[in-house]
Amino acid sequence: MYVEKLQKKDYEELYYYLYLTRYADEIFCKYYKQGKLQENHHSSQGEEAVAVGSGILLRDDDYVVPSLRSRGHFWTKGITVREMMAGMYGKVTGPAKGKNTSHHMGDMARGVVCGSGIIGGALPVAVGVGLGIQKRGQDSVCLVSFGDGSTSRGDFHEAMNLAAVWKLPVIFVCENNFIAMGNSFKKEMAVDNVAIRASAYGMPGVTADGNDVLAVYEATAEAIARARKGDGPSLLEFTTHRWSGHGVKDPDTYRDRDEVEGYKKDCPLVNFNKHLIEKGILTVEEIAAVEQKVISVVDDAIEYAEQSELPTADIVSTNVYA
Amino acid sequence: MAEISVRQAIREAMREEMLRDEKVFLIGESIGPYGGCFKVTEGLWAEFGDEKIMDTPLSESAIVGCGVGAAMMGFKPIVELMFADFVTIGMDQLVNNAAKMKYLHDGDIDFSMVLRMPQGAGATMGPHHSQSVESWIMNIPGIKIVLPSNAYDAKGLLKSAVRDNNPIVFIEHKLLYNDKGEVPTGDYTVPLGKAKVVREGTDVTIIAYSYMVKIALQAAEMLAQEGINAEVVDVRTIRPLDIDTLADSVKKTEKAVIVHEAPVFGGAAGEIAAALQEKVFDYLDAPIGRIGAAETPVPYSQPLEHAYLPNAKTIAAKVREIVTPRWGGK
Repeated sequence: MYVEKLQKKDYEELYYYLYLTRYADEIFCKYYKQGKLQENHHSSQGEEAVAVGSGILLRDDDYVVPSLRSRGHFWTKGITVREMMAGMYGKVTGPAKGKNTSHHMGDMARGVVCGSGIIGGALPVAVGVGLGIQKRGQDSVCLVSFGDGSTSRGDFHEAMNLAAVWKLPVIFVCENNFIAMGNSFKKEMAVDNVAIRASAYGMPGVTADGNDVLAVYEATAEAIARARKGDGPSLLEFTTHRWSGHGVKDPDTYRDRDEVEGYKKDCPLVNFNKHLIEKGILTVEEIAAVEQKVISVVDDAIEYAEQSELPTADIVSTNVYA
Repeated sequence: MAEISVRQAIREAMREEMLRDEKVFLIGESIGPYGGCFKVTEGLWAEFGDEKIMDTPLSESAIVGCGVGAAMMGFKPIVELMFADFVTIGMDQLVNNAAKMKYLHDGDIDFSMVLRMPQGAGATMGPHHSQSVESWIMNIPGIKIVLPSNAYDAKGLLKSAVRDNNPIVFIEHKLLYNDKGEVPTGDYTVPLGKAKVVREGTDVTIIAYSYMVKIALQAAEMLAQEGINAEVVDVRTIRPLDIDTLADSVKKTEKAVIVHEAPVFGGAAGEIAAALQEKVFDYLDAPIGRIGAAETPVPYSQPLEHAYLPNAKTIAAKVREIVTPRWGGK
């Protein structure tokens, strides 16, 4: 069990990133509705444990391809809250000086691969990054995140197949929230789960509870260990639920209210908080201190973003070509 | 200088670049022991093995996307598509990833990738293996588009493309693969973004690229018999477009006909004509002529395919129309 090796500071870190994802998300939603932000936000509330529990395992020399709702993958790879917040505001201090959104930003130096606004479009790129790792002879991995919606794209099939044929160190992480924008899971696929599809490509497929950060951690750790050894890719499916509409402005009228309220009872933060207290890993005071730290980091980022300048028109045509 | 075919020239460029720079490698469908759909990579697998000559499943999206990811990792992949027609399946990776990476990192990323693909009709290969695709790709800032017309340029341009830090679409014409030309044995490059006057003339400028340069030269010979002295300019790179070289020629001849194999509507000729009139409006003696294929899918059977394609006669006819004094002469 990889989880058994976790130290107190690791638990603190996990909780820090979970709470940061939740708190920053609340700010993003609130500020977007207030018209302060330019970037259309897609809330990850209820799904935080997937990105945090998997991203925390990545080393500096590993790569991650975050998806629409996986802010935790940015934080855990060293993207600062200031950068993200400035990006949300559309400021020049944000990703690529305002040329890219924060939720698709990339920085190869920190192992964050630019995502795609085309759902599933980043999966083949992740395969190329995996190929680059293999060619360099490194024991790094590339973890690519996507939702259940992506698995209906041809790119999912092509990328899974090629990664398996070449035994590339790619970890396919499906954040299954059982809804593709407004289309429910049963209308997406005729199989019972996403992980079963792994068998078509000759790689392991695992389903785990995406609202249990330690379950995410455990399954991811195993897949990463396998990839580092040169044994190739894995498909991990983490089941979770989306608490809000697709985007901030989506009133989510197409889902049953009781159903959505039910999801909130299985909160990844509450689940982990309980675990920390019950097992005596962290005290209530220690948890409160982590939360306070998050609040001050986010407050600082808001101030930073608000004081930053907007980009000026003179850079619109720069760096299209080398 | 040795005479080698365009096919050999492209192969030599890839071979020499792989020997020069360990970051260069090839991926594509059946490019290994099979030697590629048009045998362009033949022999390379035997010399370089699986690590550098990577056979892939039939997965154009994954192949192009894989090239994107490898380029972001600092490698210099040369990606081969069997037929340019298949770029439709890799188009998302090309348009939404390859073309935008520089911009989305505000320049702070390595990105060297060449996407090679053979295009063009004339081999009775039917509607899905004969199309000319350059104008599908022209409207995408961030990509360079190269279309060589001969062996010397093919080798020199491909070497420049591999060494360029941008995504490059390198379009070969399948009817040119066997065309031989003089190519030096040592290392040389032909710069991207530079057109070339391939036949000097005084009466009209015929602007062409890829296989149509060869046909334009045939048309120029026909016209010479009639006393019309045509200049032929090979565009070589349509993005970036070397409008200055084209404009200089038209300033001299005061008339222009633009030829490509793709259908005229929405084709590169429209863009070139528009760019030209902005530069040389006061010099023009006649409307700029455009010649391309018929506005149809590429038909299969030979008589239909011939009727579809531009040829030396149709080019010459268009030139005659242009050079005939429209208002009783000057």
